[in-house]
Amino acid sequence: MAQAAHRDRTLIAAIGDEDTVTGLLLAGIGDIDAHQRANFLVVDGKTSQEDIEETFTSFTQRKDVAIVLINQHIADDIRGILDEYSAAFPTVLEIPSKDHPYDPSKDSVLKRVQLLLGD
Amino acid sequence: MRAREPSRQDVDCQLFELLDCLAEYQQLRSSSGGLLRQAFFDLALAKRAAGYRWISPDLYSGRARANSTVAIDETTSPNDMQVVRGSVGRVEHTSETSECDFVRRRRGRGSQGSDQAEIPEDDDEKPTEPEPAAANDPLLWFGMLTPPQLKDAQRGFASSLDQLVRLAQLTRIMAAKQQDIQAALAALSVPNAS
Repeated sequence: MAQAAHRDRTLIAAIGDEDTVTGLLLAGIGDIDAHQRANFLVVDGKTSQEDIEETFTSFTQRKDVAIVLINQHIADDIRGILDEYSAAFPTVLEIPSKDHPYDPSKDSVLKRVQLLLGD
Repeated sequence: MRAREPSRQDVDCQLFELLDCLAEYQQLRSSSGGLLRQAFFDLALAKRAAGYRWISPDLYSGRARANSTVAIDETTSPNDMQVVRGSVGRVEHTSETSECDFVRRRRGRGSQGSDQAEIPEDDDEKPTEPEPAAANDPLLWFGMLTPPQLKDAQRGFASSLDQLVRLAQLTRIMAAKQQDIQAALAALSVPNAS
């Protein structure tokens, strides 16, 4: 039953700043369903942390989303929720933005491996 | 029947596999970062050329359908993921195949029992699908005459998307391996503790 649900997971969702979302939409990930639910959120100075948390939670609860891409600097704002999230699907991946390059020291994947290896 | 307990060699093998994944992860992080940097640069050039208000979130289509989706292969463990280009719910065919299928369906309705692969001589009706791929191109949201830099940016983001999907796949693989290793280490530590 769970496998059938995985087959329906086709969308890539995105939470990011304007340039990141614009770029990912240019790449073709943008989708707005019949209920006018978009699979992307543009985060700017006016976006509250609650909105980001709510959107992230809704993306992770959707049955048609396979991957959630989120800018690393935005992920820092909801780190608590991200650290608690451990489901295999949708997979959450932190990505760099134009103004905030990828920082390995904040990468949760590397942190977990370091913890395992005892570094 | 009791499952075989993991040996130290098994754990070593799993650790090596995890480190292999980690090496690929770091390499992909580096290359996708480079691709994204160039794509952001191209996007900035396009904004400068076209005008900042012509490439903005206000122009995102309210009827957008995903052109780039993910296909999850359930036959592999952990499930493999790949980027699929083409609209949701529409299987990608070449135009020749689609037309053939359309003809077969129509022939099947009209003459049951006959050879469905037979192609009619005249074909007045035109198939309603497939819709041209260019019609769904998100580039068109930003106008008909977009600057070439926007096309470059689109190409860059599309290339980096392939790598990001692979990174997401690696993230899941590594998480699964870590769980296996932790379970194996826990199993190994029990006899030592007693």
